[in-house]
Amino acid sequence: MTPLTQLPERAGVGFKAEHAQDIFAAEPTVDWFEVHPENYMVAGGPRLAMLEELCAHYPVSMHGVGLSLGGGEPLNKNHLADLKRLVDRFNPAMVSEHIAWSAHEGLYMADLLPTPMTQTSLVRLVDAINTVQDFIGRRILIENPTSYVALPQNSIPELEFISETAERSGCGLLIDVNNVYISAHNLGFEVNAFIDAVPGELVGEIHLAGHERDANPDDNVLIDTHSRPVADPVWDLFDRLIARIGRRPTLIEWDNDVPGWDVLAHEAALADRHLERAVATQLEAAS
Amino acid sequence: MTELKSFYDGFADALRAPEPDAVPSSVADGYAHRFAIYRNNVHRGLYDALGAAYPTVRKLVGDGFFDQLAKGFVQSETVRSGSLALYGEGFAAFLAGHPVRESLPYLPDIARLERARLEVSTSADAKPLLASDLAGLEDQLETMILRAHPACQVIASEYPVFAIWMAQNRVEDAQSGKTSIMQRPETVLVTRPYMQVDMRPLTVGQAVFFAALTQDRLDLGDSCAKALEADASFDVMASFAEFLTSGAFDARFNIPRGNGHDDE
Repeated sequence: MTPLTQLPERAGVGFKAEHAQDIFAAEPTVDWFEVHPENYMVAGGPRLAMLEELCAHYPVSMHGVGLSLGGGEPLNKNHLADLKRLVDRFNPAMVSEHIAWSAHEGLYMADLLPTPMTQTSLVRLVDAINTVQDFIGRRILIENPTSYVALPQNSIPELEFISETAERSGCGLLIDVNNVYISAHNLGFEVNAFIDAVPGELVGEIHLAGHERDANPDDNVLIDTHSRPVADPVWDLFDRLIARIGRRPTLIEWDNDVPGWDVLAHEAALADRHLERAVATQLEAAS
Repeated sequence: MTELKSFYDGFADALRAPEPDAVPSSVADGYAHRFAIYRNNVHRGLYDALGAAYPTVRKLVGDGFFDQLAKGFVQSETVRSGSLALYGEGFAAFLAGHPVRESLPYLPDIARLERARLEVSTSADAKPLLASDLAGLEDQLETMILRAHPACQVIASEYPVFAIWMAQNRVEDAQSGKTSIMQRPETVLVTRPYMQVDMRPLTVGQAVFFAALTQDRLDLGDSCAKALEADASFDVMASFAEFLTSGAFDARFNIPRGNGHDDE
């Protein structure tokens, strides 16, 4: 099996076609890019040519949104075959997916829906991850969910659930610090305790993104919109995490109200400064 | 296991339900608005994906009404793939059975044209036949058999779909203002030369010529004869050159009648 990560331990950003000119024309200071493989599940044409160009110049991570690993039915074989075709052709530095479900009776729901956290669902999730890892011949990372509601059937705390899943399947963890912050806020768990208990040896990548407060005035709920700069408390949690576990490849996600390339590059540079500071802090502590 | 199954069934049913406040039993009382975040993500995500695939249909009907159409289409779907890259197959057929057709009779055909653009944009890569590939074969052209490039489609409509599409997608510095579009049938060739989708309207003769070649599998000589029969004004050489520059043919051709040249 492949090592936990082959991405540089620096900041990367989600690749957007509208930034292609800026990325290919100049030499951006960003070290790697992430794509959703689903956007490239086509036979040919300009979209795949652009991915080819991107992969020729940068390490690329394929971050899936459509496998429905945490769903109640067997994985879709066509989707899995499409993923393998992309992985075989482009040899990405990393492949990751979500602890979530999105498929039900042949209908894709276009969202990352909450997986119940029980012993039964854990076994199913581990099976699904093993199926993927065996099929594509690689270790993958799985991302912690964003939660809006507590499911009454949950019987295992989230961190225990995702760590146990990784231990049993041999996959790694992609810790989305923004998701941790949002879920802790929405469900009311203690966020620092969660961050402090993340098993560092299992973490292969970190995600950072912006969120927004829901317009509903009667309920203080945060929504994972990926539409803004990373919020200050999320930067603080990021610092707290990397000060303890060391630096990791860190992605800036910005998928809605996508800004110009310079804004995104600036956000990535900021993440790089945080990563460098974490290294300095650790060196200081060690000396 | 059955408990899990009823969770997924209940959640999915409530997401699909048309009434805006349907909540699955797995979500605690008082959390309807939280569940609505998921519902909104699902529906907004699908409507936006459909709008990205059919931008001209959306312009023609406006964002609000497009969402209504999308809602109906999403509810009618029985299969939806985990990749939305080719989302919206069947939208033209959905529109053809929708009352909107009474006021905008050409809307289903605009959708067919946009679907063709998307499919052409994402079709398999293959070498197009170039004029230079035919150098030295001039005396064998008549018996040559050609096939359409994988990234090539023809959309025939009773309505001026090319003119309507162009009027909705004008480049910004072009003169604006209302243009009147004459009601007439139009047939559009959609291709992808140099990795960019290109469209051109075909004359009656050109449409017959291309169908004879690529669907009836007639050779070039017979296809020309058929086109001239349908349209006396058909200009053979100019039309053939136009198809070549559009990248309409696959580079693999064959000359079957023992002329000493067979690429297959």
